[in-house]
Amino acid sequence: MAKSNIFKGVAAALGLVLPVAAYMSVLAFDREGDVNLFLGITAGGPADVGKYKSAYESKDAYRAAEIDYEIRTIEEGSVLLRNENNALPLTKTNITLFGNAALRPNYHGGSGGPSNSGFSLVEALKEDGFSLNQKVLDKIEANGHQAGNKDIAEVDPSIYDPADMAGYKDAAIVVFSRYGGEENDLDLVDNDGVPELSLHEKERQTLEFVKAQGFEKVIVLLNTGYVMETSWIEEYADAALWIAFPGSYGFKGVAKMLHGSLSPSGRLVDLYPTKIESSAAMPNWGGFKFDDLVDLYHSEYLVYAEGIYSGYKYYETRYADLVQGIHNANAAKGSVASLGAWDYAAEVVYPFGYGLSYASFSKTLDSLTWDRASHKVEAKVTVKNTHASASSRHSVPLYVNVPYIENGLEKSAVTLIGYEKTDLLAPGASQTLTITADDYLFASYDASVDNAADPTKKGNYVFDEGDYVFAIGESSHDALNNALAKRGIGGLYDEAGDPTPGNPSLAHLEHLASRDLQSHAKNEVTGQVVSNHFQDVDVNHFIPGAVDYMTRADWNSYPDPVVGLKASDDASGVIRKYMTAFESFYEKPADAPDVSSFKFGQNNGKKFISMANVAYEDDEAWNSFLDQLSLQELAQIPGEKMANEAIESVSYPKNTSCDGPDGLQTAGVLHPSQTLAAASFSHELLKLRGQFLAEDAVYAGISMVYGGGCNMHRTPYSGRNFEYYSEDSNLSYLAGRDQGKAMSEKGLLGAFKHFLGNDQETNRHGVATFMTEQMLREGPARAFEGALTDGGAMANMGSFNRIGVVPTSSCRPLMTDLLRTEWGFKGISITDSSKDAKNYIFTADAITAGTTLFNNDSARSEEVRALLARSRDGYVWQQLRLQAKNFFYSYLRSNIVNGLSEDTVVSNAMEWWKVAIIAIDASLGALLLGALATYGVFLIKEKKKEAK
Amino acid sequence: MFGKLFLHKPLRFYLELCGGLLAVIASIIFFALDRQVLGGNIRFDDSSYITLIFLIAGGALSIVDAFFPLPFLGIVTAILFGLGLGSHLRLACFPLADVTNPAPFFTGDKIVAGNATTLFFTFLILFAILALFIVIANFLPAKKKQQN
Repeated sequence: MAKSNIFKGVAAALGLVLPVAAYMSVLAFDREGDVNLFLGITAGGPADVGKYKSAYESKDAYRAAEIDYEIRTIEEGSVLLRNENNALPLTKTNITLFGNAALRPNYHGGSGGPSNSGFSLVEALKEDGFSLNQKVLDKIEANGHQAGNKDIAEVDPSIYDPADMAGYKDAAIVVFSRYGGEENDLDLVDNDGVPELSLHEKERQTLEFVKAQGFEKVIVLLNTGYVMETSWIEEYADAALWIAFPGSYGFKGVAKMLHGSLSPSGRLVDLYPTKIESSAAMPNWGGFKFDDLVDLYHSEYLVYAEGIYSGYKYYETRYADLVQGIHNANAAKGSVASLGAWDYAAEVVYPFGYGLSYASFSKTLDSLTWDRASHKVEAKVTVKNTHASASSRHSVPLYVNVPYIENGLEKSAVTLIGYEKTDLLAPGASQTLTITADDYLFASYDASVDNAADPTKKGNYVFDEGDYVFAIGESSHDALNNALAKRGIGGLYDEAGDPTPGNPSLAHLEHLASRDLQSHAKNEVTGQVVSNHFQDVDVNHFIPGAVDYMTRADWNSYPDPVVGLKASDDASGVIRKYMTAFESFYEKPADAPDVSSFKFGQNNGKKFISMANVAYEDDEAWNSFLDQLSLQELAQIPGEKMANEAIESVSYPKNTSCDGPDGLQTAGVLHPSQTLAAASFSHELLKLRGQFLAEDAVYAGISMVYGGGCNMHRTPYSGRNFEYYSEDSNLSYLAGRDQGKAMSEKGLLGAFKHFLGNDQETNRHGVATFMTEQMLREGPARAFEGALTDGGAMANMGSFNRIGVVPTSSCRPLMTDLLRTEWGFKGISITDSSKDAKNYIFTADAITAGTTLFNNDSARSEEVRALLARSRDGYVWQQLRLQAKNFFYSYLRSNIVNGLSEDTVVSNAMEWWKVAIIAIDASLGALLLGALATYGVFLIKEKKKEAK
Repeated sequence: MFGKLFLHKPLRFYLELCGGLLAVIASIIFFALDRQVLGGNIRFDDSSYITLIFLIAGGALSIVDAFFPLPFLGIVTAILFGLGLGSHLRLACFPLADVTNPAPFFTGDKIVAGNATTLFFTFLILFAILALFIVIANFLPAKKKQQN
């Protein structure tokens, strides 16, 4: 081979490799946040110095405390659904495990945060002294695989052999699991051809096998972050325990509960229906498309036709009307398990708030006051452990039954408004709890009235005249029965259908003589008028009569699927305008300030850390600080990349962010799923969750986590229910408040997500989400409100859906009017990963609506730069400065300030891997040039030789 | 006359001709499928037209070089193939960074996402093989050795 050909080939090879390497370099730089997290390169301040330093002496000490906390969360959050004849705790230890999930459990759902792994159930049981039937475990090992999307992966029950059971019949522990996650709702028809949350045939056969073997006890563990259909438990199991996704160390707690050294004390955060399709939200769950729109992310919709009656509020309210014989509550419409006239006991297996314990408790409602001036309800409840030997904690939820005015505002017959939990109570011990609740949590939003504080505006939270009955009980249903008994209503029955008189002594009645529009006409904290902002989130606003929302006035209004909507039926053209927008719909306002009114690149001597104690309202100081930013630096801020670059002009150090909410992605411990933490009904545990996430963060060098999760469990089929608190917006409010406050106090910016209305994964990108303003305020918004107001969380993450037809991150009524003005939020609003949403979440629209950062999308900075430099749009510039202020104000309250002083010099030093990549690319370039030159030389020589 | 174009051609000729022709055809097919699968809606992330431009240009030059070999043309062809392949690889690999946080490829629609991923990785392999043809061709002489 001629030498010229060799070097030509080498040059060609290098010519091929160099551009490929360059493109890969671009990709790595684009995703530098991910690369840094993968390599463990983070940017936070030191863990042992500063305002937000760790509370522990060492990482080992905090990890040990964290594991104790994980185990306690499992204990207090797991829900004992059944315990016949004290089947639990187990006193004998030779046991056989059944079910694929016994060996291959799910520690976590398919979403952000640490990986789906942990200390296994098998290891935990052995550690706790159980002797396991290895023959059966070996067969499960040989015949199963990990569950996945649409695949419960249950092993074929034919692998179980009666001959293998000898010596291990003290108890059978059957573990069933369900798995879902991001972009992965569970399926109404899964790989087995049945609803994924129902009992599958292989599972039934397993239970039948177990039943036939004569085990002393049969225990079922539900390893699922989702409600399952569980009417079979009574037939097959002596005891059943819901353990959700238990995280890295949760199975240690499960083993201890099975053995009795710990006692479960959780309560259900969702009602368990007999058939899940009976939920009033289910007819309108899934995929719906405008008949006359076609484009991806621009054509789908979802209608919350159930109105305010999601989850238990539907079943309990219909029950309350049923026992009173009103509103056609016994109609067949909506009956699924009832087979005819609607019947609560047939439709419901376990009510919201249900949960047993190894101990037993008596309760007395000592007193209850509703202070109308302070807006506080205060109940004193004495709890006594009446069990002979078992110790346990016990939570006491407080509910209210509010007056319903015929054909008036929609009202749930029972609403959770607060809770407290006892310490560990020994047999015979008692404790008096004081439960405090804000009456805002049971005011109803009336969009049709003039606001009492500003009659020029419509909309007001109201208390209708009538009787308000506050009640406690063993579940929402039990509390409702107690409240109804207090009202003198008879014909009551429990969830099993057994008659009960109710216990009026556990209820307290307050009478309101006239309608109250004053109490919550303004926000209690900000003093801002609370009025309509979301009338156009109701599709009837655009297409009158398009949807009949379910009303308590007639239960025949149980929703049908809302199909066949057409954008062309909207005479205003607004639906089509927003749904089909592929370009920004932002329009520069006529009164936009001139760009010359803004300064940049000034040297005012103000460093980032010097603003730590400057009030948010001190515009002069903040403007002086912001004037120092160059255009480049101002534009740099919105383009988040799981990190933000340092800003040298104001000595702002680089920060790192990561995904959550059940732990810090790549850097933290996998916590038990958030829904299980909420099931503890414990303010203390939610605070501890926030604190330990913050401890994880300070050691990992992370300042913002995308979590907690505050979307609603609108239906059990939403793939991310495990990382959201509950179907109940007030429980989410309270849990988010506790967790958010703890995170903030320890310097972790918790970006509570996904704000808002992302209550299913199907079509989450760009789906138009329609509901009434009452529903929005009392449901999806309320679920976030605790974290983002009282909780003081300094961040939120937007959702991919639209609110009405406007993408949430671009919806000014949501992102500014409600969030920042009405609620007084001063923190960061970050989009969900906006690289996946660039064709409908547009840069200028989102910034001017109130969005601060674009998640994992540094390319947005280029667009912002263009808006500032080329368009010279003063309004965008003004809004960008406002968001920059929110950004700095928030990060001043994060662990990034640990160890930071006026003398600290910050710089954008390049990470080692970037240097390495550039060096490799440069080397390849040099080699290519060398090869080209050498090829040229040999080519000339060979030509000369040929010529000779 | 047409037949003379293919007489006594070395292996390099066939590698360049096949590589070039297949690159042009495959990149057009890919682009058309890409439009169909993604509906042409992905405006920022979907820069598959860059792949199309580079691979058509590279393929065309490869065909020219097969018939009319010039000293540096094969290297230019390889560079164009590298640019096309790099662009395509970047598109295909973009979602790999989301593996631990299983965000979909471009879209929220599982079917579309699955199809798009399959589409991109199938053509990635094809383009890589064709690029290899071009590199190998550059090691080979432009003319067949004369038989004595």
